[in-house]
Amino acid sequence: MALAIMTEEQQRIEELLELALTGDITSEDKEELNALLREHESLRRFSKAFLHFDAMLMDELQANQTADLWNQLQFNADVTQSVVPQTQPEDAQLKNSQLKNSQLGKVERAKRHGSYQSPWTASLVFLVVCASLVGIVFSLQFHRFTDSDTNIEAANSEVINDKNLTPPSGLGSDRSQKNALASITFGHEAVWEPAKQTGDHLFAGPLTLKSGFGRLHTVEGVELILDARKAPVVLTLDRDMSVWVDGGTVLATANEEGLGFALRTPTISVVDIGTEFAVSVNAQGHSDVQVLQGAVTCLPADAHPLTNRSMLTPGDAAVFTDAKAREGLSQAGTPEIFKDLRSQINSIESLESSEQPIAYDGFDYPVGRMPPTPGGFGFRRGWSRHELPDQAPQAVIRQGSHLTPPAWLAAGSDRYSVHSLAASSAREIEEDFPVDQDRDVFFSFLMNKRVFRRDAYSGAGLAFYRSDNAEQILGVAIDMRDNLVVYTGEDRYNSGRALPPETTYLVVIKVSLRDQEQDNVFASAFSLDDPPQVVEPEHWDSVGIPTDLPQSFTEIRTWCGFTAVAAFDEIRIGPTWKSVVPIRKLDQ
Amino acid sequence: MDGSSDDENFVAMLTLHQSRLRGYILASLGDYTNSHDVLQRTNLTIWKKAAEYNRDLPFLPWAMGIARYEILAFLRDRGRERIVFHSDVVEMMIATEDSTFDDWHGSQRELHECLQNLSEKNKRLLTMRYAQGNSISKISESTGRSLDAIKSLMLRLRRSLRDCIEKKRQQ
Repeated sequence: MALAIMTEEQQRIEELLELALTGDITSEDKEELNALLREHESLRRFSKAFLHFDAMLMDELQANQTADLWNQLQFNADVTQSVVPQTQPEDAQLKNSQLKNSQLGKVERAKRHGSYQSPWTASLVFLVVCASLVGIVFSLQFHRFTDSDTNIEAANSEVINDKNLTPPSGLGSDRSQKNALASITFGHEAVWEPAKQTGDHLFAGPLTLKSGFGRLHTVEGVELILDARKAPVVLTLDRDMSVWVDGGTVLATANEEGLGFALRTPTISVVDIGTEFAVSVNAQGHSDVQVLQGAVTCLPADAHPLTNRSMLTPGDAAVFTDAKAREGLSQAGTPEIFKDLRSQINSIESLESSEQPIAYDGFDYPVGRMPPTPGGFGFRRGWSRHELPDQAPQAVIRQGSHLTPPAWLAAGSDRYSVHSLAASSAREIEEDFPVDQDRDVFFSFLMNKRVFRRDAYSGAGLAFYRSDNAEQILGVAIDMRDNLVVYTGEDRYNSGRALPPETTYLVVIKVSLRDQEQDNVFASAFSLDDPPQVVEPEHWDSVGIPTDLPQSFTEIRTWCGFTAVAAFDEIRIGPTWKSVVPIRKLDQ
Repeated sequence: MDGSSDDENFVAMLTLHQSRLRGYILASLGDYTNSHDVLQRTNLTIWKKAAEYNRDLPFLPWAMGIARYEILAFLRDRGRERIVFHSDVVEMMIATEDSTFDDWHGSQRELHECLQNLSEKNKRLLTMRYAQGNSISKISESTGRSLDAIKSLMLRLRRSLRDCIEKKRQQ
């Protein structure tokens, strides 16, 4: 490796190769490079060594970065099978690596992340190779799906220029307003001011329920029942996630994400440290507080919180008439105003239609490699490797905070599935979806994608297949540029809506099948602080027009490109928006 | 080849030599994108031809033979379009013998150790270039340093790493 003395030509070659590798080489430089290499065998040898070293360096640095990512994600170590490069004969190296794998416990392996004895190079390459070998056919398909700018533009113009197709309504989001604080999730004889309807997002500002019952869900997971039967409920949503109540009766229920939610009245701040309480404010600003479950801390509005707080527990009721009083006047029994509140709410909520999904998987499997055993409901069998139904799926089950369901969504366990590096898993749906019927099918799933090297292979998403056909029919993905895109056939996908990266999204898809008319596919993505409406929205983020659907589609596949890791959870399939976008209820 | 353990051994063998195959292809084509594509095609072909592999013979020459075929097939399909080395130069590069990294895994281990000795700042620069695939101009923009400064720093870093490997070999 005689590097100490470099000739001028070697230095020039080095510069030219560097330009070539970084894509900065000009035509003239390229000609010069080729001429030099053609002329001198010594320069070819030098270049070969240079490029070999470059590949080795890239391999090492990519592996280091993946190791960092891996450590952050704290994957289950079962999925890694290190093959340790050693300067030994091949057979001995293989035996060594197998022995190490069997001997090392998870903790020990985790400790060794990043050290050369646990070479991420090998682990990464192993995963890429395994995934790419077994999944290559699938990969080739989704590469097209996530490929170049040119393709996307071509596909867009193809859609636009095809005069036989009608531009679907619903394209273009009106969700440009961000940071919704809450949504109206139910109304019964409700009259709102300003005018609202069930499903509307609520932003910071005043809101009055003039009559009837209403229900709000905040993005932090607090449910507020507004009772305006006797007096209007006058409230203001604040940006600090608290709610000011200047009049009327409100029942608040907070799940764990809503812990610390504050409901403020002219005389008091009630901070939820338990689960359920009710507040009623009269025209003089006097505040009745009743705790139904758990506990609350009461802070007089104009007193120091450290020395003037009091606590109410279940059954306690107090009225606060003075903004400076340390404690309210204790009430014997339940104040009249709250007496029938809960039962009224229950009877009214029972009127609410309860739409259920036809299939669901919350990935409530044991942590580790995702098993082929069936979980959830509405599927013919468990997950499997795509196109290899007899083999276990290419995913792991994790538990933790990487993919936390949003507070507003009814969700199952805190476990979820993870796909990495060109992995794909398939599951057959019990119900068939014939395309020659007028029918809407809704899908939703939670997803969080992390890219460790941004290139054409860093997409991930959900795809729909016929079980007996390797060809993808439809798909929705967060592509290499983090756009939410809809795929509706070969080279037909739109550019979608740009999404902030590394964020958990609830992706909702509507496949609108029409026998005599054009089919459409709609998709939208909602983040933790951008909740969906409880009713189907008028506008979607991304719309695609399938032109050549086969008779039916029966299989879903979760997949992830070569250079990304994607977590999936809460997959739902149902006949309506509500069946796949379940808003969290009191007892969930 | 039959049985899952044979499959596993085969995959392990292929895994073991991924880096080497990548180097071989990169040294023949001179750019990352095309090399990545050819490496994927090579892996696919190797897998398809797994049954033809004679386990009594070394794996690497057999795999490199397939890689060579894939490089030439790629040239045939793509012509000169967006390829750094001209076809005749590619063939010359394939034919050129270079023993610098014959002990690939040993060099890889030494490189791993040498990288540990770099400052965090320099490691970050190399990571931006090699792991994240940023162009020199992008790195220059992100770091606020001139294009020439980044270029010469990259060359210096690479040389110092190769010197470090060389010293380790001589020890």
